[in-house]
Amino acid sequence: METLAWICLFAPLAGMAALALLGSRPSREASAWLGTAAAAVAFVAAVGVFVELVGKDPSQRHFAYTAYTWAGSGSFKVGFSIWIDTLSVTEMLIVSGVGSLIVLYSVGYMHGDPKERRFFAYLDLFLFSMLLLVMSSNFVLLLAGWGLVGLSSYLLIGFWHEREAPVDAAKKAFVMNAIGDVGIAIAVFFMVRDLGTTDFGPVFQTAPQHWARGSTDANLVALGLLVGAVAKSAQIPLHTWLPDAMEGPTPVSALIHAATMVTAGVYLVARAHVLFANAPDVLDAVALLGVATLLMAGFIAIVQTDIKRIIAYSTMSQIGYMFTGVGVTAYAAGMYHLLAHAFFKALLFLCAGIVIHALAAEQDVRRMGGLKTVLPRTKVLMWVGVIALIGFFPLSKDEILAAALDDGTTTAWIVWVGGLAGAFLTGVYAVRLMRLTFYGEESEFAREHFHKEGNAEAPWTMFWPCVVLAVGTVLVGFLSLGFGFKNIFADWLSSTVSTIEPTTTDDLITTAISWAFGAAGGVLVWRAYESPERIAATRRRFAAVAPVAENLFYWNWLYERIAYRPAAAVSAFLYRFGERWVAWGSLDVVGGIARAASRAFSEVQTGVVRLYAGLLVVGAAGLAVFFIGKANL
Amino acid sequence: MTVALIVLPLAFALAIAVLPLDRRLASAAGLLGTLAEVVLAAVALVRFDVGAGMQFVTDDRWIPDFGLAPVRFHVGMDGLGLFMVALTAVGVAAALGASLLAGRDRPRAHVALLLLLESAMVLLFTAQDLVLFYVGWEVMMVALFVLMGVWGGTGRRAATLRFVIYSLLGSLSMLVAIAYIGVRYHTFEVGQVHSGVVWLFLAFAAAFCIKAPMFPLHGWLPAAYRESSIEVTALLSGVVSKAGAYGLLRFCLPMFPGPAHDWRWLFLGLGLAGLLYGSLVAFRQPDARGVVAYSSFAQMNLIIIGIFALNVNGATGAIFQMVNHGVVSLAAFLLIGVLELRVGTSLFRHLGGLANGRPIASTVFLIAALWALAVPGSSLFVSEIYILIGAFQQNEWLGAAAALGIVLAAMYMLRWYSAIAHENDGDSVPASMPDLHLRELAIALPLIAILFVMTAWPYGVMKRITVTTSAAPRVIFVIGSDSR
Repeated sequence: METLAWICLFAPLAGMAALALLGSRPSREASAWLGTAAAAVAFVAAVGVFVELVGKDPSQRHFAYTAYTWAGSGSFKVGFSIWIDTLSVTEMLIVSGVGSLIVLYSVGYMHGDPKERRFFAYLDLFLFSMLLLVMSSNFVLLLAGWGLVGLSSYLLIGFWHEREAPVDAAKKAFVMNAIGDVGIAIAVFFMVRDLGTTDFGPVFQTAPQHWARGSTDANLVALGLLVGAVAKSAQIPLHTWLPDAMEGPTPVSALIHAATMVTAGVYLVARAHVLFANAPDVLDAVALLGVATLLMAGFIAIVQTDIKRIIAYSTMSQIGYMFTGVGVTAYAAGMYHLLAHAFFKALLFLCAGIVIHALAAEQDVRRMGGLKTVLPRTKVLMWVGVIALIGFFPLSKDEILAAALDDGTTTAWIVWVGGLAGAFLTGVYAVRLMRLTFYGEESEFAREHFHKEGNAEAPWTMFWPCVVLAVGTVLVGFLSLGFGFKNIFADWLSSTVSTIEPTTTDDLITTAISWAFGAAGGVLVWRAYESPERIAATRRRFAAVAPVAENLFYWNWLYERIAYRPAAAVSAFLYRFGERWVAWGSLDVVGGIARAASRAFSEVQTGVVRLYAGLLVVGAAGLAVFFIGKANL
Repeated sequence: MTVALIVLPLAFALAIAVLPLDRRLASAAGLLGTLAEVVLAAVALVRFDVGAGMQFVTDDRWIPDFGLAPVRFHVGMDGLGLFMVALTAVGVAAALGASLLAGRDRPRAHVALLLLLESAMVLLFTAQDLVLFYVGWEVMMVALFVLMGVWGGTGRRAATLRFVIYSLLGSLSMLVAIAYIGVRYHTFEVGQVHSGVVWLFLAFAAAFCIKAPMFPLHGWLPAAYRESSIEVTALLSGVVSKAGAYGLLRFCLPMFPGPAHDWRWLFLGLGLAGLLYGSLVAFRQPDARGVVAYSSFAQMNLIIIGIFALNVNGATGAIFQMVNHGVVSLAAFLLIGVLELRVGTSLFRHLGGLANGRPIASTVFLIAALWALAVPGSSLFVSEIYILIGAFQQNEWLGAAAALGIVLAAMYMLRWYSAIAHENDGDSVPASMPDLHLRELAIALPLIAILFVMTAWPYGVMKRITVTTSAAPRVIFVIGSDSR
């Protein structure tokens, strides 16, 4: 098991190193397949680890392996160590499995791009970083993985760096995530100071003894981790980077900004659930931030016109559900939604990629329409994703809400009500997306831009990954059916994290309402787009509130004014005036004295020689002081 | 060993200065000398016995009766000195390579001065006698004054003058302090002096904090870093600044444990101010040199925070950061030098587009930028985390506030990289400028290889540092000895 685990972690890194060192020697195709092979090796190894772990007794399903001491001082050491348990293996399977499919998809999607080789090197770097994040066995190494996925994300968002928008989006993503890194770093500082270690085992064992439940320190540790989770998972208030990140190539959006990296915050809360349980107020904040985000992002998704941004806000909203899940301590339910979401959201993005690919990079849904005749297979696949997204099946979202209903605290009630309202919004934006893309009249633009008459479907490398994801979406649904059926997924995770098992009544009530709301949203939006008059009528009805959503609830506007501009102004001020007074001003005083002194030696005029003279004088003065001192004794 | 490390560059310097070599021969001899020094340093690194304290010691009589106390030729290396010597060897070799690429006037004098500088720095990093240290310190200064004043840019006169004035103030105060120690304690041996005299401590600290430089003693820095030829700037930022931090660790803390503890908040406060101030100023610099210059200033203040955290984690992190930052700022500045040779300026408004069809150049610049911003997982991340842990152990608010530097570093370094590499080619970038040539890569790649090795195995450096402290509050640092 140990060997397989290390292979899983390092295969993508080896792939990246090979791609980087080989440079332009292998053909483009060979590079693409090398990148894919590295991901596939990681997946096979992850499956191997999974099989071995299944073979162990549930109480024995956790292992830690240390390769060597990575860093250390006399008082605090960090091992290069990995942690294998049911939670990390679940993540390993998602990352390497969905990762392999998306890398394969990229073989077709990136075909012909001049920087194809670099793209695959970056993808492999991302997979290594993400695996490091989920496999590390201490918080310092986790933070390293955490930052490295941010780096890969930066590189891939800004992949098309000839244009300004991707570069700005990449920088924004990196800096907002750096804020999250600081949060986790501060949690690490607490651990080192009070516990002397950041290794998962001892930390989770001793933390509740060192930090009393709900004490300031316990809260600050959990809060630090939460800041990291919020930044990485694009939750309020550190969410504004995710929509901009859609400037990256679509496979990147699918892999990093939907299936794996952005859900890392959920993984972190589940992984550190002992620390969060020790800070109940912070755990409530997790759930409430989740509710706020899922509603806000749902509203915004309804008015977006860029196909990828619609899906991006949908991702934000769905991660909000996951946050509510782990926030009400239904950890397995939250992780289950993460798993299902990885499948159906990657599917949606890849289908969107096929659409974009067919339309020569057009992403505006208003210029699409009527694509059902030219992309019939993509339409079917995308419906599978949309049905899963609205929550008809799998019932992953409902499991979280049912658990909240079962929990019954005030926070849980807010989660339940907010989550069901969110189901309505989900129905609206998801069906609107389908409606605008595939139905209605074919737009002028769409007719012009089909590469080939009638058949714009993608090459097999792009099509089959979507099929696998669609099948996976459905199959995942059987891992946790609710209604008293055996909860395979929660049982599997039970050796690591707990969940709330709702009663069948709770399941029934929640699912019925959720289905009804989702269907209502879908039907309403479908009918609203039936004729131009109806569209106009709908627009009039919501004229008062639509601008709020269209302006993204003013977060960017706010940050521009309270963060970016003040920082730039302070920097400019310090540079222009601060430097003059603090540094150069003090020098003028000193310089004046020195100049007066050097005038005494003004026979020596050339600059450098004058310096020597000055040096000599000072040296002589020093010696004089010295010998005077000696004489006195 | 230590003596060989000091004498070898000195011998090469004298030979090159005296013999009538032409440009090619002088360059070749210089390269040979600096590379031989790198090999020697590497041998010392491998043969260094972890946890065995001061090693490769030579302790002879030098000036038997200098005033009241004898001055001894006492040199040796512990973990701290070892890595500073190695950094010097690598730094001077890389700087010499860069200067050959640029082709400086009066090559013999230039090469000889670089080698003299190297010898002086190795001396000051290994001297265990105050007077001997001071000799190394002053020779280093003189070599720098000349290198800066003769080979710099158009504003070099004013820049050199500033640098000299600041440096002399520091040297003078240190000289007075050393003299007083000789008179008062009848010894110049570093290990023999334990004093509680506050003004002595401050006199030493002044010299070192000017050199580092600590906020707000950095008035010499902007002009010096802009106007010096790039190899001198790289050495100032990468190696010479470390002499300041080194002095604090070697002299101020062990000789004056009481004053260092009582006055720590002066340094912690100014260090924090410098870290945030320098990072903010770096964010608005109009040129590539300016960003790295202020970033370097900010990082030195972070190192000062680590030192005055007065605990094992802070000091270990600070020393490791001295090595890390040394290598990365050498890489960053020398790469800027390559760019300046190609483009003729480092002003951002004339730059851009390096990544268009120049994969090697853009990757190398990217690596320098990422390590400089201490991307998580990198060796700089490790040293930064240890410094911040140390700061946090000293005071929670200090650690949390200093951690903000992480965000600011990301802001200014990504701006730096984007301005150089992204969007369309800048108006000064020659049409279809080729990717980096092998000889340009030969300067950057060894530095990057060192960064990679330290990233894969930071403990390889950290375990050789082995900082231990005696009980607080009167902290005495012992470096290189084994606590276990």
